[in-house]
Amino acid sequence: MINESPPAFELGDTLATRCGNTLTGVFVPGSSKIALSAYRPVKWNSRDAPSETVGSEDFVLVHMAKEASLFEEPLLRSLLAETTVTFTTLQTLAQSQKSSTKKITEYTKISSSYRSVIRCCLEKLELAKKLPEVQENDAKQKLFAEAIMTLYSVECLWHLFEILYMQQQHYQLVVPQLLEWTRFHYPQAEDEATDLLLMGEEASEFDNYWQTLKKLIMFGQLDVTRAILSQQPQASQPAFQAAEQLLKSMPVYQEGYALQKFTTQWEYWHSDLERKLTAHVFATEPELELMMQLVAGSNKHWDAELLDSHDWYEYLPGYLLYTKPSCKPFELRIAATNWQNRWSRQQPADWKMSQLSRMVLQLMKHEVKQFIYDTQKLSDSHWFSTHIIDLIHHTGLLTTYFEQQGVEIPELRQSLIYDYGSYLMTSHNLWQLGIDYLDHCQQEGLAAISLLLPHIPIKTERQAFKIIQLAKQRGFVEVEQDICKVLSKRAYNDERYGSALEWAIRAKDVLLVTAIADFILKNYSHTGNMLCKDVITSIGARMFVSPRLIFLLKYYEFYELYGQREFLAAADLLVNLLDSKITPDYFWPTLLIDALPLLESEDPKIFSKETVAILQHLEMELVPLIERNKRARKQPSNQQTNETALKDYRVEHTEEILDLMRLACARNLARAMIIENTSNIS
Amino acid sequence: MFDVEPIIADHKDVIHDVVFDYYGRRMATCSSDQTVKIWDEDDHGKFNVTSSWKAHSGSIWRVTWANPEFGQVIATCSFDRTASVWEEVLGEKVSNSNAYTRRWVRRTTLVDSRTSVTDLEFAPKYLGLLLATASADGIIRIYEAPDIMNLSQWPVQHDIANKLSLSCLSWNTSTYMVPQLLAAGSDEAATPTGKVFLFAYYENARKCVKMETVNDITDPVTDVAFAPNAGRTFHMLAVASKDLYIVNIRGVTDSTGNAKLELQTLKFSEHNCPVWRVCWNMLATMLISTGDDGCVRIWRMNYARQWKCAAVLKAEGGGPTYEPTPPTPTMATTASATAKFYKKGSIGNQVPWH
Repeated sequence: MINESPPAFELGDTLATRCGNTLTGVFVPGSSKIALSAYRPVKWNSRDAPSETVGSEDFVLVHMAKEASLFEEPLLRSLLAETTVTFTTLQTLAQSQKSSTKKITEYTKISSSYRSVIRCCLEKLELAKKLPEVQENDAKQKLFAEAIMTLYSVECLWHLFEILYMQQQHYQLVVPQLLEWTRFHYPQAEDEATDLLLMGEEASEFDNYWQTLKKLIMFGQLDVTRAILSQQPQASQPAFQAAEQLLKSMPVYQEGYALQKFTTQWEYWHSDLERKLTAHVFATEPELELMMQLVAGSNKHWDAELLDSHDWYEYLPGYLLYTKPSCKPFELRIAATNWQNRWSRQQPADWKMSQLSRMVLQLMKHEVKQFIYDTQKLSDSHWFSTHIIDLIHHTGLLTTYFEQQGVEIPELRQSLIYDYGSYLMTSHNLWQLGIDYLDHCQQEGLAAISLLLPHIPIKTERQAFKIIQLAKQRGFVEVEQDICKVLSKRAYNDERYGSALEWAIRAKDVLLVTAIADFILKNYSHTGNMLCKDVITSIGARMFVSPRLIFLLKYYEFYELYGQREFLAAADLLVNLLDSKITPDYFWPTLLIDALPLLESEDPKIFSKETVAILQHLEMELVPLIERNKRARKQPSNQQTNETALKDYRVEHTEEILDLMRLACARNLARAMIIENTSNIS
Repeated sequence: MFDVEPIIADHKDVIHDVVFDYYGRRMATCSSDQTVKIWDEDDHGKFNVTSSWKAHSGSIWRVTWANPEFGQVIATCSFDRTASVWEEVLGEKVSNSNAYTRRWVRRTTLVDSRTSVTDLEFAPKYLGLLLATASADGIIRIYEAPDIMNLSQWPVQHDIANKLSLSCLSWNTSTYMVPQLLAAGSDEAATPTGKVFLFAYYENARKCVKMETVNDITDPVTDVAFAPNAGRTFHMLAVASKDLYIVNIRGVTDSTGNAKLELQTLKFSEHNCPVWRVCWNMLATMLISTGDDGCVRIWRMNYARQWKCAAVLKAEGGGPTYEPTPPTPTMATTASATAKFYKKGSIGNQVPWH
């Protein structure tokens, strides 16, 4: 079965079939899409000329191909969200219990909670299908129909699996549960029966009366049958009385009963029925007689009824009820095979078994390996196969079977969950669910999360914080930094410099923080505009990421003080900055010009010692810089970068600063010395 | 089982490369018509062209995206012997709104090669903004932009000469191994020697040296691709040659304490013809190979860690016809194309994973 050739799909790209062309494809990151296009093998040493196909009618196309998924519909997406909860519960349950105390009943509960999620979703789909907006939308109609069919099949198979493999009673009898199973999946007979019951006596006039009763018998619903029959106007006649008595007295196996005793009782009852049929007790009522023939398990009569059934397994549980009520799972294999053969003989020659029917047969025949393989072909994005294998793994069911078959369930489970989780993580809007699955795939799963998480497209800051939080919980430091860097660069390119600075600081990326701080400082020295003041004021202690950022903050502090006319404090800070040794070269002119008004103030703000220091910076820092700049300017290759490097918006040529500053320093020195010396004397 | 939506690329000649950005939301295409096109995905998942320009004066072989932390940057290489770096910048303000237009500007043209530049790829981001190019004269050049805020400077950091002409290269993106590996392939057909070379890039010593030749592959090689590494202890390199190869690479230390590579080459002959291109998915659980047989094969690693071909996509088949205008397919053609692969009324039409 594994060796079957891979499925092939035709794309219909004409260009790719022309002139030695072929088809190529690439995976689209962050999604499950594949982009396909025509490919022309060309070597570097062939002549670079337009290809033969230029000007032909074949379009140059890129095909976006994606494995079809039901789960893009919001209604179905909720199914995934709800099952994730059950999945997580199961993992916790499996971890919390020692294997000896694990109870099958708890796992059965999990199993039925998976099924109830599907049933609930099916109901929602049925309702939604009737909405006018869906009725008018062909694509949606189709999608809903497909979803209903798929989910219905999944539920049907899961239910059967639960009955056959998850019950572990001592005398494991399957017939009553199988009857339950068919009752749910073929509710029509029951609906009709309800109608008949409501009609009371008149029911027998109804066209489908006997037809419905027959169906009820074949579904093994004896109580309802008896109730309807008792409403018959002729219910008191001997034939009806006999039927009522027989149906009522049919032995039903109950737990705790000795099987031997039950079998004896049942055989006694059965021969009684046979006797009555041979004695023509029901002959007066042919329809009733037919029903009793079915109850007696008459092959001829069952075969006749089989023609009308939808699927081979529809009446199998009913038939077993009348012929082999104590059927065990291992006996079911033979019974199912025989029954299926009988049924298919009644079908037209071109009849083909549907996927669902085949899988039902596989379960009944205990071909679980093939069943597992086939579950992966359902169009449910591997929802069913992943969850059922996970459940099988945790319950430890069928361990010996799988060992014999050479199927390594733990590996298969791990692999399916990994694939399912990564499928969700690369699907639009489902990525958060994917994380819950990958979290249960050991190291591999964590590695996958750390690889996929940074690829989630970040649309809003809120989403970015969400991703960062998830990364932090798992200790992925790099992921957080990557996201911050990307957002910083994005903001920078969009000229949102405040945000760029914030994200860069968060990324703890020294180079990036320095680059942005440089940009803000340069912009200030060129234009006199201070960018993103609010962000700068809020940085506080985080400034220690980069010396340049410290400089920016300190300079901004000076800028604020100056603006508030706190000249003394401002002058103090400025002198500190000049001495700090963290001034970037390009900022020297600006910093020195800033000192100018303070030096020129009538009322001195800077002491003589500091004035000397300023003069010293002027001569030791700025003068050599200007010299270097001049030399560099002569080399044409570097001209552009260096010429703009030394510039302040307040002067045309940087050289002008020198004389202005020297004069200002001299004057201030004079004033300061007079005052300082005077105060010293007094 | 596959929904297919065709996009009319509007290139005047065949497309040589289709490459997606880090998030898969932007697509770059390049063609023999000497143009590059940038496509953006809208909220409905449709790709629309947002920029298109003539980028070279020859066929453009390859296009590659830089990591988004360096901004929106692509590089292209061409038959015209050059490679170029392009950056998207804000353009004019759109009237009546706060939005700006965006346009792509050429940041640099790398003219060092004297022959066709056949492939190029940005290095893993933690090495900085590095670009490796391979050319037909057999030289690998590694360029670096020292100032990430100013992409006009791209000095050559290394050039490594090889005897054979080169057709492709690929960086290993995994951070599990130091030194970082760079693979290159040659499509030289005349000599019967190994055609895939592995180079080690030492970040701290700023050194790049040849480490190993994959001697198992002696047929011309047209594409190589390192697999992303999600927690594996070894590296995987897919090679497109006469057949499809996957080379498993383990870093080991020999008795003298030197780092060595242990290679294991797996061969897959299902195409029965030359393989031109290879591409991994994000977790390296799947691989696409392009054969000369008009087929794309999708490979999947099963739970027993074996590579199996999971599906075949064929070029032929009667697809829908397209109107040249409007530029994007109308609803009707899209719907008919989408419906093509559905097996109606069936519950089982999916590719099994295992």
